[in-house]
Amino acid sequence: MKLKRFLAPAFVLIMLAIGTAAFTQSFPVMLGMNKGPKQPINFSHRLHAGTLKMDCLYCHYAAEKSPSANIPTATTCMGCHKAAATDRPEIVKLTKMYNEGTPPEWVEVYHLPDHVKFNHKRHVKAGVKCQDCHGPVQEMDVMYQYSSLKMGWCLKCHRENVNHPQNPASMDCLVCHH
Amino acid sequence: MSSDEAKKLSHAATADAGPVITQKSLNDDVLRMISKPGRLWWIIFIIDLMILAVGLIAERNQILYGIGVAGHTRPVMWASYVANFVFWVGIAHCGTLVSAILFLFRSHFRRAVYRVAEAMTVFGVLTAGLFPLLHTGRPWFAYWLFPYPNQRQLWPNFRSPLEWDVFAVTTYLTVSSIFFLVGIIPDAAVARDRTNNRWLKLIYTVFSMGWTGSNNQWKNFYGAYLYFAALATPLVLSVHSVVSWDFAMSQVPGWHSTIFAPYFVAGAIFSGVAMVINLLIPIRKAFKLEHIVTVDHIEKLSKLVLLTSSIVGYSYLCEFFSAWYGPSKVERDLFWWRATGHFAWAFWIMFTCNVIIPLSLWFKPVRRNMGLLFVLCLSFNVGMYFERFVIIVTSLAHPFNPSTWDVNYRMSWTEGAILAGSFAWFFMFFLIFVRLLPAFSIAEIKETLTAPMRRKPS
Amino acid sequence: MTDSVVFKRRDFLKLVGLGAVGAAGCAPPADKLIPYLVPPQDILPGIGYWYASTCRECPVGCGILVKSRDGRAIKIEGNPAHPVNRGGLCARGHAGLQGLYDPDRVTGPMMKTAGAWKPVSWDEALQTATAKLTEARSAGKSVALVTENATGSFHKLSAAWAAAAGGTHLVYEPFNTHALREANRRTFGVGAVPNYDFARANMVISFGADFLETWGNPVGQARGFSEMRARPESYFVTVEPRLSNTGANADEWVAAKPGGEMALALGMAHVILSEGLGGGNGGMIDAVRDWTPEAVELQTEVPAATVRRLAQKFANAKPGLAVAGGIASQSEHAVAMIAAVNLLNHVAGNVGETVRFDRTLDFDSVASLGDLQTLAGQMADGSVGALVVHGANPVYAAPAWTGFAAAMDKVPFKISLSGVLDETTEHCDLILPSLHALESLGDAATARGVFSIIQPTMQPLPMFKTKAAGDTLIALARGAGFGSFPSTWSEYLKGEWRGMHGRFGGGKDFGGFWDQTLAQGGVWEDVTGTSPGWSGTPVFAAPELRGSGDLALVLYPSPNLFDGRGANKGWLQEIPDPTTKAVWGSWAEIHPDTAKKLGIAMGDAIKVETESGSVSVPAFVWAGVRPDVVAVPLGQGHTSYGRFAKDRGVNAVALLAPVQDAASGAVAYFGERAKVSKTAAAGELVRTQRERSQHDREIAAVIPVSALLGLNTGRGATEGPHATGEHGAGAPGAHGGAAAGEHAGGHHVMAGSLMLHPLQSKPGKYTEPRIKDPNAKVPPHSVSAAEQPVIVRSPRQIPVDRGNYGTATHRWAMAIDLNSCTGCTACVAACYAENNIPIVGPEHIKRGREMSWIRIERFEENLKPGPNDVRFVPMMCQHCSDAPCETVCPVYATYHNPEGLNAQVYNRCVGTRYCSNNCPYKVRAFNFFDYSAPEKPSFAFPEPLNWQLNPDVTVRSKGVMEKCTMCIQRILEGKGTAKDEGRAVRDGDITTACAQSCPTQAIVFGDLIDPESNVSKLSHGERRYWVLNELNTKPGVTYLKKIQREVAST
Repeated sequence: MKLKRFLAPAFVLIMLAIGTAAFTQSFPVMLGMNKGPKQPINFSHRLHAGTLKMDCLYCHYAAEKSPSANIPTATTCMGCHKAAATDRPEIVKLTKMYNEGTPPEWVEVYHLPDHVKFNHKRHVKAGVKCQDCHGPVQEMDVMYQYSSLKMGWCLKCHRENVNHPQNPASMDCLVCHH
Repeated sequence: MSSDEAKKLSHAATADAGPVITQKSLNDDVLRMISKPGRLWWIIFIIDLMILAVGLIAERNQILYGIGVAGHTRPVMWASYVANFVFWVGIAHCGTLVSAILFLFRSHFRRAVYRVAEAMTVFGVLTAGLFPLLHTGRPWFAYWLFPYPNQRQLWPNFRSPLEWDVFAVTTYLTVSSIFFLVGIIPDAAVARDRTNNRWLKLIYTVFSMGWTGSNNQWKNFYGAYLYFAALATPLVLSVHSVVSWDFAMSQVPGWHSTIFAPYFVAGAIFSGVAMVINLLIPIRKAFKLEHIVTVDHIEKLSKLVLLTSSIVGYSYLCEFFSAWYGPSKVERDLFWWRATGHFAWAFWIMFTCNVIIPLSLWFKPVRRNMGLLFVLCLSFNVGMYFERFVIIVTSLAHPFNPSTWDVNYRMSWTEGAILAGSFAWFFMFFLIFVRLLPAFSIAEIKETLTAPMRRKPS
Repeated sequence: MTDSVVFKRRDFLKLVGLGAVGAAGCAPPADKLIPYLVPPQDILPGIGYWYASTCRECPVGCGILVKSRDGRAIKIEGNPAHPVNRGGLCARGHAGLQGLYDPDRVTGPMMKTAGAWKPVSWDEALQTATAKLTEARSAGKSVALVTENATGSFHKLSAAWAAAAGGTHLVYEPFNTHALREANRRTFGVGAVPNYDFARANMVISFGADFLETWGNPVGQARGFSEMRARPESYFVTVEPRLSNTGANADEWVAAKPGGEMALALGMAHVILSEGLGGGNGGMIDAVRDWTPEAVELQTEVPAATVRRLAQKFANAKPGLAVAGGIASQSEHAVAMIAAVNLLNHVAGNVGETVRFDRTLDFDSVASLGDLQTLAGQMADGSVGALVVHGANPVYAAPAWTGFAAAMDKVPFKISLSGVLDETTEHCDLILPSLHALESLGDAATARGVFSIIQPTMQPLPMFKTKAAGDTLIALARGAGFGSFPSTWSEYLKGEWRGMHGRFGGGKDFGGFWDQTLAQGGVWEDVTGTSPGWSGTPVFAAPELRGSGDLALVLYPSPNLFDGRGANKGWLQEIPDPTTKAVWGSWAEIHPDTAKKLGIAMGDAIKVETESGSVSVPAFVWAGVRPDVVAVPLGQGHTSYGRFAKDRGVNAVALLAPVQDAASGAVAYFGERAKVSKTAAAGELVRTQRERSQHDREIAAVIPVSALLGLNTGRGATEGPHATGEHGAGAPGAHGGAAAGEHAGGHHVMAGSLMLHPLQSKPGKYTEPRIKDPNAKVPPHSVSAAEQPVIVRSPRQIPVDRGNYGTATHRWAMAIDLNSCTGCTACVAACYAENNIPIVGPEHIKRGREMSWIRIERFEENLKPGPNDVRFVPMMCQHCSDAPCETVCPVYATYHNPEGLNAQVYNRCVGTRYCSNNCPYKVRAFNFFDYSAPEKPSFAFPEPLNWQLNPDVTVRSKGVMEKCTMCIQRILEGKGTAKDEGRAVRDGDITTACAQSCPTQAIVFGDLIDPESNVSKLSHGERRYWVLNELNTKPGVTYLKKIQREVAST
């Protein structure tokens, strides 16, 4: 009887807590549900960035020069794959696309709403590792969204680096929202 | 004290040629109201719901297409919605005044009327509370005004008068509803014991909170009531002061004035009491309760109206005086424009209804003529609505920078519908209330009755 | 929030990059990211690249820089290196983008079959066209080619083309300069449009020339004009029956009787000659003998004394400058009138000084109205077998009595190369749509010694199947087998430029030369003008007003729409006319007295009637026109030409009488009487600013010359608090020992504006002087030049240790010189382009719902002829240090950022609109509807207009407040660049869109902390003041008072 009284409120509270957490934290990643979308070509970051130790900026060269990191062009891929591993089915697929002039339609993994202006260049130049936000890419066969991209998640890092000697992170709303 | 009060009351009753009230008759009279509703009630109720529906449709358009469907302009960014808000908060005022302050002052004419007034308060706040929401451009984000921990690590701006509003109104709603519910306990118990409909019984059981009428309960009941009265009293003054600061704290000429808080409170009580009278007169007529809600009661209320109207009138003149006497040309220009410019008609309606017409209440016959009083009180409420309109719209329409003048506000049908809808919303609650709960405090009125089995009071 | 707007924008160039756009916080749809297949050479996604080109929105051809981001042109700015406009750009120039992305552009070749347009393939279209051309030529009929004044290679091509085709090439411009060139030919012996040096002139007298709006080279002239105005002793008189926006900037308005300009000029010449104040020969004296000041007074109603005074002042100016232009110079005696002004210039010794024939504007090939009528005649009698039109729109702009429109129907086959469906195109049988100037390659030689390049700033829009006009012409010629042209237009162009190579190559090979030319937007050389003598005095005759009616009709080109070619651009329709502040329509201006007589009130529907026609328009009643004048703007009233232009206002060309200047063959826009009467309905007069007086609120302040010269400039711009203030972040002058002097000075300067301020409330009995701690450190975000020298009621502490507030090192601010501002509204257009500001249309503007972040406020202190006092105030967010809007926002959507900006965070805004209520400047715009959602009726960016949107600026959604951000995106970019180069931000690195585009450089943006920055020098100069300063908002925008010259009473 006594217990019953407390059950309902307790239940409600727990639900609320879970709800909040689910909204604010990126649960899937925490629970290891790191399932990325199916891409037109099964490109493996684990192979390229992990095993072959290729530099991220080799393909995503715009990341350090421009606010937006580029998706590598088919030409970039063919740079190596004219010669390398030309027999693999995926590469055959790629080559076909390249010759037909139809660029692969990659499915977006990291999405920001329009009212957030994220600048890759500034972060890369400030010494933020790609992995800090994109996770252990070198271990991902399929790319998945590692971080929640929630505002709180951004602020966490910014708050820590407000008084960074060389590159103080800004806490000014206007820097990202304009 | 109760005895002479009783004399008055019974005397009034005889004067009304109504039957002398006994414990039994009182119960019957009051509880008769919450018997099965008749056709008339249903007709009114259905019409009410229809009007409400129209209001809802208008609101749906506004959410779908944007606040632009209302008549706002630059510079008149606030208009009817905020006026409605202030109006309803004002209405909501007198309830607590009547029930709490007058209770503390032991002015017993309140007993017959305070339940209605309190109900009005609660429903008034419920209505008022809608407008801060639906006047925003993005109502679905209005919850950001509440301070709650969030992953964005953001807090509301506690310096903003609008933020104060959030607290003032919610507090007022909480306290006034508790006050209302506490007061209703014994009467709900009576109703509970009378009814044989099991659903109603269930409801009354909830409202009466297991009331048995034991001595101990009465003791606690009155204790609680006293404390809540004491708690509610400061709110009567604070809430509308805070509301007035929405304007007074800004620097808009015509708003930026220290007189606003008392001025608004007086106005609120003015319109609130007028509204109570407007509600009481039909009720006592419809349910033949002239002997319970006597003319004396109504007259006392109308005196309150007279008092507050003179305060309001004084404030008007005061504003004009300080505008004329003060150094600010902008202020001067504004007040001149307010009385002579594009919205002069609104201003003069306001002035007539709130200052000139109330003067008639100096005459006893007017105060005791129910029909006339009803009409007068209606006009007071119209006047008070226009007061809010004038304060908000005219001040905004004539700001510092002349280049934005003459972009005059015109009320759109959407706003009209939503205003009507707000009345429908209010009366929906009220209609249900009079049919569901004892609209008059049996317990307290009984106090004034000559206790049975006693000698007649000398 | 804005999915599809930006989404569309993205899948054009198949670029990855800009984060896709989802509703605020909602889960996004899985967007496709499509990379280039082959990356374009050194072009990075997300970075804007600037391409130099030339503006083709009017014949002047200003140099422009076009910002191309992710392959889309998104912004146009003036090219500072270009000699024609020197960095400025007018509103029409900015709106070129909206011509490029006009949703009503022709989608591809179209053939008119049974009166309806049917799309056809290019091959089919070209075959038909060539067939028709051959047919026409084989039938021995001529082929006519009508073009705009393209100049440069395209002009050569079309001329050659027409010649080869055996026909005429007619260059049509509605506002041509025939009279001017003819008059110059007769008087100076040089038939050219001279280069007027406003900068050097000490006194300018304008006879109807609206040289700041549409006449001549407005942007360049405005620049010179502002340099002249900067000199307190300079003086500007305008002579016109209707106070144009140019005239509004004058010190003195001489409202001569319509058509009296010539008499006045001669009268002045007479005084100068008879009093021997200037040079001149006997012939001249004879010529002006009859024009004594008294005689002039009879003809012009200008008092003889005034004529004398002006003449003497003018002669003593040394050099002065008299310009004749605008509609006044387009009467049937235009040549005589201009000749009179030339004479005035000559006798005052200005020719060769301020009137020079070095960098003359090229209108030489423009056809006269006579030529047009001749062609119309040939067309009518069937001797023209085929007609090709490009760029020109004579059916709209030429009066009906020229018979051109009618004659077109007589021509068997008409081809239009226009990209939009204008009136002339509607009369054609086939459309071969051309590229927009911003998509195409070409050149322009609009001014002598200037050869500007037009280069494609983006690849042609995919939804429009268009071809370069040159290529089309060549293809037609080759198809029809006449002439010998290189295979493509670009080869032809290169060929032309090979000729230039020798002259400008500077030893480079052609490739290098070409690249360099593209990079700098053209090549130019210094040219020295022949300083001509006086070749002959023509006979002078004053124009007779024709027709009945008691009002003189003044038709004038709309500053925004020009000859009507701007009408299809939403920005130009929505940006208010500088004079009337009216939008989206036409109107007729009449004097209050006249209005009273006719019982007409502001906005009433009236009918303006001449013998040739009549138009019904709303009345605009103001004292800026003479009581005997009715003025109607041109440029509206299109019957076609896209959704923005169609059926708006009236085309006042209908009122023109069949008259032209006999001497030059220029159409006579002036010289008619008109009747005005009330009528039933005539559209609505929608204005953004209705109140035209500032009610002594000192929003637009002036400083008399005497006071200015009297001021002890001890604490002038250069020295002052900054230089001495040792603490870097210290508020300028507000603190420390250095502040003492500043305070005295402060009082001294403030005395006028504060102590005696009409709005200034007296300090209360208990108000304390602010106690200043000598080493108090005021954080940058609260720095303002407007440190109140008087008491304040509540000293407030600002947290300096929070977030970046302590470490910030900038305070962004502006200084706006009201003495330079001409009210031209170029800044408004620039702001629309830079900040994705939607257009809302007349219905909402009626309710003050225009979204523009900056507006030009116009206050008329004195509109009577004589001393003229009209003031312009560019009003945008003042970025106050103590901003009223910030404290009242319940959710911190608006707050003060560490660098002093008053920030507005759209996605935090709930839309209570309290901030706007509390803003004394009323500079906040609210999104009353969803202008960014394609599915909503209020969508403001119909495809492909949304391609112009700036990816760096959020497209605001419904229900949020927005306002000037001082172009935060540009600030961030500038700071980023500086950081990359490992240096501090330099003054001039960063500028806002409005400041950049201002033709007179009235707006200066910069860092108030940096004592050496231009802005902080100006902000502490002696002309500084702050709008509504008594509210103690401490604005970040400092205004400089307009210099008010004394005007003699006579």
